Amino acid sequence: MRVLVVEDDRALGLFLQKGLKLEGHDVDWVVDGETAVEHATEHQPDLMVLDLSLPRLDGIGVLERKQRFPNTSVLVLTGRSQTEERVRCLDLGADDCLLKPFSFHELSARCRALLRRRKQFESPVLKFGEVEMNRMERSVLHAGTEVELTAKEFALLEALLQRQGACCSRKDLLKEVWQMDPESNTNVVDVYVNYLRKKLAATLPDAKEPAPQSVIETVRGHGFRLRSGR
Amino acid sequence: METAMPDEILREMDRELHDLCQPLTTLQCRLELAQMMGDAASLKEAVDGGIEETLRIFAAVARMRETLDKALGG
Repeated sequence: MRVLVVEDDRALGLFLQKGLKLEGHDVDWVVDGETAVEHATEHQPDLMVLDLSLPRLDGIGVLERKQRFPNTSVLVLTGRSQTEERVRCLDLGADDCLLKPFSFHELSARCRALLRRRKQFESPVLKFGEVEMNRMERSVLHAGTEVELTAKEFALLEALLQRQGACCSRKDLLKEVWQMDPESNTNVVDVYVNYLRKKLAATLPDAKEPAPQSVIETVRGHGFRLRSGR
Repeated sequence: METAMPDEILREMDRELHDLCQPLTTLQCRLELAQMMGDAASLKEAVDGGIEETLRIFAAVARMRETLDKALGG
């Protein structure tokens, strides 16, 4: 699971990142609220571990922008015990709150519980524009026509669909779909994006004149995103 | 005899308690992770880093004492 730790205390941030990595998560760490919102909007992590006292934009400010990363579960870390603060966080979209000081084992167990709950309620269907994927049936429809995909093509399209039109970098795709070092010198992502484009374009009525970028758009120097209209 | 603390002192204590929680959490996580890793290098790192955290804890406790002394007219 992809986790974003938002903690301005460098020692604590480092240890949370290290510990959650040991638990098998893919963890990024940022130290301020504005960067957290940017990162979450772009990468749509599964879980955000959010400290409330942050520079630039505090944790409440981050939660107020939660609509930019609607599919991310949020676990709030707070050093204050006031009930009002925790109620406010939960009302703004946080899924759980943990009071400092805490044990790493408790934090980790709460993360696992949130991710379990998330999986339980996750819809098997992902839809964006004319592309619809059923993860349970392992099927994909484009403009109502079934598209046959290989396992890697399916995983790549799933990663793009999960971002709902937000850009996904080549590095993230390498890490997430191929479990490869993001710094690897390979063009495997571009190759598979082209396979996908061709397969998706082939389902359109004007397939003889394919517009290969009609569904997956290249974001120059960065990565790819899905486009909703033809 | 009970004496009511002024709001300002209570707010200061709240801030200082918050500052105390930070190194306590770091210390706890540091020790637990070292325990999970179990190797000599991790344990040494936890001890070295732990000393830094206890210094932060001492500083926070000293500030709390000072605030309380002020409040109690010491």
